[in-house]
Amino acid sequence: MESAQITSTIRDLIVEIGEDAGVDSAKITDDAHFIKDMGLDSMALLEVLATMEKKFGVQIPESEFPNITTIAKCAETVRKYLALKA
Amino acid sequence: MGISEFLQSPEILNAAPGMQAEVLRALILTKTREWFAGHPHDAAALANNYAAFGLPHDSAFIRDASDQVALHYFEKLLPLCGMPRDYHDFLSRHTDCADAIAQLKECTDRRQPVLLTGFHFGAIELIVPVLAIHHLPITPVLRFRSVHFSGLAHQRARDMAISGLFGSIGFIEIGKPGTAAALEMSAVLRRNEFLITMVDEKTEYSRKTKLFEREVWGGAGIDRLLAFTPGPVRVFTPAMVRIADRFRLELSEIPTDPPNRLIDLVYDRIHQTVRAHPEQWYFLHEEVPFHTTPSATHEKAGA
Repeated sequence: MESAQITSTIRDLIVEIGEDAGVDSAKITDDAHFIKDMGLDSMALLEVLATMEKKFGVQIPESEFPNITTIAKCAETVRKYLALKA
Repeated sequence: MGISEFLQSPEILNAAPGMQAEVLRALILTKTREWFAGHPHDAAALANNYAAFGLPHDSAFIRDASDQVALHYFEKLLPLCGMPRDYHDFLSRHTDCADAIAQLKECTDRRQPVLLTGFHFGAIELIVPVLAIHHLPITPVLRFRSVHFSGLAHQRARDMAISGLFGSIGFIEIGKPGTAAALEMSAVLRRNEFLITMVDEKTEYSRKTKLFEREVWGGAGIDRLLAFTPGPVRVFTPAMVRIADRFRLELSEIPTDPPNRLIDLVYDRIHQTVRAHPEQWYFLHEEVPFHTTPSATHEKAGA
């Protein structure tokens, strides 16, 4: 999967979760912090994690949980574990 | 100041380590009786909550129920008393938990994660240390009254583990800066360990369920936690029931399929336990998360 496609898929996911949580779409950027900038909570972060694992077929270990903070960092993490899987 | 803050004051927290369990128990019982005598509104609120659920609420029953509230706070402070060996001896002497521990050890042997759906009843404060003396990998999700108490609890848990008499206890503190509680809770289950969390407090993810024919907010998002955690997770509703000066750990396994029934089934179990021992439902001394306000539909109780 192309790097840009991974980021785009995660961006779409965050837009969807953000809509449910009432996040202003203007606040959703690749480097915006999920909690500090968008106001998402930890349950939303868990949903991001679970959905990424399902969509990309990877298992993200606990040590990477602190990186579930921005779209860019999530994409980087997914790329890392897709590469390990390949 | 509420009763919780009153009974967990810095003075009591600082004095507890030098007390024997029986001295602390007597102190907390006395202070709780003083509190309710001096705050008749709180006693009335307790009675009104019992009445709202159609449970006993006469003055003798409410006196008993308020003593059970005291015992809850005593058990919360008990780990701070004396040395870890004293606490270990107390738990070993007073708790009956062989069947429950056997059930949970079977999960450990099979490397199955366990979610314990706690509720504000009986001697719930003893569940985590009892599992720890059997070296079951337990993490409670909780909120400490103060930073001071949080520090004392962490230190005592470390001392208990170092003693070798207890396994290690992890903590997930809701609301603590830097804590991503849901992620941390899922991480515990992903490690095939045990997580205990309260399901009867209202959170953003609670949903409508029923208890004694009343609609309440329940579940605290455990359905979402399980939906986003790779399964299967075994779910049990635990209750540590006080019987005279002893405690019995009761466990009920809750089917997780279909997932949309989970919270209702947990609440059915809560109903059965409370029905058998209503005086131990200390939840009712605080604000109950009714889905609809009870004031319009129940008769106010005198207290």
